[in-house]
Amino acid sequence: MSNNARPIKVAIVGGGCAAITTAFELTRPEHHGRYEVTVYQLGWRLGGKGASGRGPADRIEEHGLHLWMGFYENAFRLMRECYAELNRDPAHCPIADWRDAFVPAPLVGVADQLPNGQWSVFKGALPPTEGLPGDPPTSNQRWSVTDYVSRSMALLRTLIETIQQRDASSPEAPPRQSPDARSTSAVLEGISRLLQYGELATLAGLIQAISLLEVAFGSFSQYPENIIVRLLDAVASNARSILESRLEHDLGLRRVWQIIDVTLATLRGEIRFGVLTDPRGFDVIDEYDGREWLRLNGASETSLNSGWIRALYDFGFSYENGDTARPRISAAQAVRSVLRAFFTYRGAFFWRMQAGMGDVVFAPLYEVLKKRGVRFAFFHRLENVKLADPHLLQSGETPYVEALDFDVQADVTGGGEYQPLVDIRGLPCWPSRPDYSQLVDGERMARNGWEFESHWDRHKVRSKTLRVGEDFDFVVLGIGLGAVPYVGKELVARDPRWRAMVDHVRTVATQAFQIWMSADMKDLGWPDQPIAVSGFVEPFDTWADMRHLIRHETWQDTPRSLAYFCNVLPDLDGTDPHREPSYAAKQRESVRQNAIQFLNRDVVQLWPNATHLPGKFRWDVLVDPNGTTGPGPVANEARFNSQFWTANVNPTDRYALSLPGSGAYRISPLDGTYDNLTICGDWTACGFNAGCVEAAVMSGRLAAHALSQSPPLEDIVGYDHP
Amino acid sequence: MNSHERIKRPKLDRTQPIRSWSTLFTAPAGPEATTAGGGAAHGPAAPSWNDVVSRSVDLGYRVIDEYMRQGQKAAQRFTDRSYTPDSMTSDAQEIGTRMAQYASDFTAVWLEFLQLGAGNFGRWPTPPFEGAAPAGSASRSAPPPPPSAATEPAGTDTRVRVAVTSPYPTEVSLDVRPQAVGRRLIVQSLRAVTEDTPRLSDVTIETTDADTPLTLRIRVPAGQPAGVYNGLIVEEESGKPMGTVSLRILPE
Amino acid sequence: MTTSAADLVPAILREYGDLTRVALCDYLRPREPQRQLYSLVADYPRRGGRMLRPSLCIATARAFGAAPEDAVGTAVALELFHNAFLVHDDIEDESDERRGSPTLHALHGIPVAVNVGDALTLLGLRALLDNRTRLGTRLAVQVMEEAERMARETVEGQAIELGWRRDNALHISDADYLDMVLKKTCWYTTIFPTRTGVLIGSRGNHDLNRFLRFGFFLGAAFQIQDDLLNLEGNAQRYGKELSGDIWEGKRTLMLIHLLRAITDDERGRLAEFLSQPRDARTLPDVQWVRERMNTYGSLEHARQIAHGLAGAALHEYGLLYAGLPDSRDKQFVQAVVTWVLERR
Repeated sequence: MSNNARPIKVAIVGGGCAAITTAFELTRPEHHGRYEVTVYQLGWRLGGKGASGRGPADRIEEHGLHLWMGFYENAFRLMRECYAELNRDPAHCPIADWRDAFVPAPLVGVADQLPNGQWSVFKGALPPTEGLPGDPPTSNQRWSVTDYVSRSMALLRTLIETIQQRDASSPEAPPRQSPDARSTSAVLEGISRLLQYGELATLAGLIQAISLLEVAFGSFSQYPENIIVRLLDAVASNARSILESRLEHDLGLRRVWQIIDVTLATLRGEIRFGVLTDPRGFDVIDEYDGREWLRLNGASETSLNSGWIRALYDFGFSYENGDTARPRISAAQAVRSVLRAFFTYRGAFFWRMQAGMGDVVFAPLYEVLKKRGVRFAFFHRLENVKLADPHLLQSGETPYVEALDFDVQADVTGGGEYQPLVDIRGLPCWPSRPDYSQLVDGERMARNGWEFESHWDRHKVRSKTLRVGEDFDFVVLGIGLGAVPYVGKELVARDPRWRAMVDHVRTVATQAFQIWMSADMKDLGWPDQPIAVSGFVEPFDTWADMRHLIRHETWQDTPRSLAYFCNVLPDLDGTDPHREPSYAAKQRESVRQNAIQFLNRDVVQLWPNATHLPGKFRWDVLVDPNGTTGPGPVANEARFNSQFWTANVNPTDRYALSLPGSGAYRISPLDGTYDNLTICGDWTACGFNAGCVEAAVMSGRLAAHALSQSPPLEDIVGYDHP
Repeated sequence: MNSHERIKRPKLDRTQPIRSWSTLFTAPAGPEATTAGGGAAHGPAAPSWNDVVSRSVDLGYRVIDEYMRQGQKAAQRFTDRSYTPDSMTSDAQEIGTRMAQYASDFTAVWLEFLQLGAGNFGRWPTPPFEGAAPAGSASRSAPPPPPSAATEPAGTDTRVRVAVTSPYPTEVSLDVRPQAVGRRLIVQSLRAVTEDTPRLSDVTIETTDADTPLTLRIRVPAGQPAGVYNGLIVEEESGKPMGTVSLRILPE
Repeated sequence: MTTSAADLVPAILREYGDLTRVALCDYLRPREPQRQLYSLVADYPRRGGRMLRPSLCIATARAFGAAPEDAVGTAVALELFHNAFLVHDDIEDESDERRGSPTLHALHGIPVAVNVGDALTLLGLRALLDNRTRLGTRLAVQVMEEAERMARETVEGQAIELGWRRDNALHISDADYLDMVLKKTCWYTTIFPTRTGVLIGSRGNHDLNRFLRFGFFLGAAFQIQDDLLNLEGNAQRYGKELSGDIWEGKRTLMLIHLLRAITDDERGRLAEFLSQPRDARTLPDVQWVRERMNTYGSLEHARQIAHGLAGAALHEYGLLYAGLPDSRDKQFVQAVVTWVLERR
């Protein structure tokens, strides 16, 4: 009795990175059409949290800031395969190849507040590395524990040697060591001597200690662990006291020391907590908050409050309930992320997209999937996942999804599929509004302002129920975690693990705004290269210079600069968003005011010439796509209203956090409790439990594996990883 | 809907990631020996012996760890040493936490086992399926002094020259990781198992010409007791082990 | 003068085996009432056997500082339990042969054999009670607690395995298999002997939990090798009929690998074979299964896993026994790890 006769129908609900990746995997040519995929998406565009649109002047309007990182192996591989399959004609399309779509962005910045209250941006260009992300794996992958550790040691030694050279009073050369000095017993003797006789108080002693540590880490297993820990401790505290006085006046050096301090604390913690050797890898420290764990391992408070650490939290929106006074991130995921980000990036640390994420990622994926025969049902909003009645299950039968209830928001005239893309100077893009002309009763919907993407707008033209066996065989739930309590009520009520996941894996709303300006950045006081900076004030702690996007937009008076800002957005206190119909509007207004205040008061720290008068942003530089530009009597705050801002408060738009201890509650796409259901999204247990594109793509591949056993798990880069 | 007709998801072999650090060391598909800087991405080629073996170790650890974590009902009796017949601490989690705190230097050692293989006397017993012969070369020298040099390949493509000067018959076993070539190496003096036996300290390793990248020289003085002497070859700068030397002085 | 590893294991097995057998005789003496029963009770233990379990127990105890006599009582109990399991095992497996002679139930019928198995278990318990004189009540009770746990785990493991056979389970993963082996075999073959050895040797002052890992890896490697021998070993020395496991439809690592690896059509035939009762199975079918295992490399797969587990056992051994003073017993435990894979 074989089911090989007809294709297996897969209903994928959601159109974000994860869901689309699943569709891409299941429809690979190798499957020979075994899976018939339909993607159900609310509203008019794919992308989920990565969706973008084109507004007036064809300006790109994003949910927030999307930077891809050089370690996103799975995500880049997806995009490279997609572009290769799409085979666009470069003569007609400005973004034909993946290298047109993604460009290295090596300059990163971290904002630090100086003792006098001023802010300064510490810029660094991380060196380019071999290879490109998404390249096939090679046999000399750079990462190994001992490499990573000895690199940190070497960095510390260089730092101290630099200081030693400056310090004329101790020009000693380190003695050349005999081969036997490298033996375990010699090293141990050296270590105990150093610990005993206080030689570490000198720079020369420190250098020698670090050399010993390098050797020790090289053959880690041969040394009793507590002695290494003791030496690390001694090195750290001695280095700190020797260096602090010198570092007080040298800001650059101090920042490097802060990195070293945190690295030493991390190493120490990895030993003490058994991370380096435990089969569970970093998960053993999942319960701790990042800063808390580093503090336990001896990092100083100033290092913990440095821009780097703040940027780490900012990048992951890691604020419980969106409250910036409560930064919390799982130490396990934090260390894992830093390790991947800094030690395994290929090409560049960051990669920028050369148009909106929707244009660069989702439009090509949509086109490829269409070519492969995937069906798209836009304007379908999932209302409920209906499980089979447990009382009717036969003994030994696993629970399953019996039906999916949808609200159909709009019908397409003529009954065919909705055509979602628009052409903007040769590039297929997603618009910021649906194409009402394709919709039955479209004019009325436009007039009445139906908000298809809003959780609070319940308009529909009818309901529709899909049934197992008839309309689908498998379900892939690729909606955001925030929506699960609404559409997965049965799952949450009946399954304690789903309940626990919803309780422990939390989400936050985010806010963002974009401004187009007639002055260029140099004029505004930022003379450097385009940069992405984080760790700044709340809000908005993250700024990215996006001037490279302007040429893809269609302006009459072309702006000279473009800036994106984003931040976490706390929920309104004491309000249940679900029951408050004007919740979205209220939050949107908050964001507008936040942005205005930020531009008046704070941005001057980054762009010294942004204000002519203190506390008053140069509103006249803002470029209004619909008309008035330049100075004039109306050049006041109201000019901001012509710009773009967003409060991402829809449940599906909420960003998933990696709170301490929450990793254990995530459910994996591989989980087989329901024999025709899998899930995907960066909120699932996907191996890299952080809110980012890479996690989403990994989860999509896992979901595909759950249904088809392909791709092999070993093929999902970074899934098997400490 | 008749459940027998309904299509169901396939049963999966594995549903959890492998989090042990061995994932960073396992070689991807390819004929090279495992490298110290192995990557976590594995090619889709058929798993090599080492792949299955190390994955089976991970599997084993996962199974036992999960078992211990779940804390069978009786596990509560074994939580502490101060056992009294009616002590009933039911916190299996406590056991799991304690498990996690045991510092097992498993990975580095396992790496060494996999890499250094059977040529390493006195360390691990020879794995039964790889035969009893050590992986490295062996050379004999006749009783009178003249040094004998033998050139034998160690590893896949590395030519090594071994020159032993000894008044007694000896057997030398050497195994060197391929990436040792081109690095500055030093070799520790060779020690016997017993502490009071004098070491063989006149032992050097050098990089000579392109043809024969490594030359190992050992001089055995008169009066050196019979037995097995081992030493590590390490990279000069980092101290990382790059191979082992083992010399056996045969009894008369 | 050191004995090589290859010689050490058999030597110690003989030495501690003899020690145990002598003490065992005390419990196997014919006694009233039910003289008949007790002569049968002595049957299996007298057939010989490797004495691996008692030796592990005694060697561990001695390595941790005990006098040889301290652990003999527990070793005797172990051997009695082991034989009890064998009797019951054979009934459940419907086997015909054990250690070169017909199985007990083949000789005397099932009800008698069940009785005998139970009697052996009771005797084992008595041996544990008798530990009180030698070890003191507290330690003896701790050993009994271990035995109770061991018994429960073993029975649960057997139940899982039988459940697979009864339900004709076709989708068993390697992890499932190891879980079952952990309970059914490892507890009484390696975990209990080493844990009680440590208990006795350290007089209850040592943490036993780490021995779970060592015992598991060692026991699992042992069991897989056992299953491999069933298909490939020397019939005489092995002591059970060759390919007996296939006749029984036992879910070994090789069989579950084969179930995963074969084509859909072949799986149909295999599932059919597995669903039959034992006496409906034919030799050509068994040979077909055996040959398919060759084709798909199922034995190789199992061998590799056993190899990996043995390596992990060695590693764990290093952690557990390393701090102890060097001794023959310590070397024996280490040598056992490779011996389990090398034995024929």
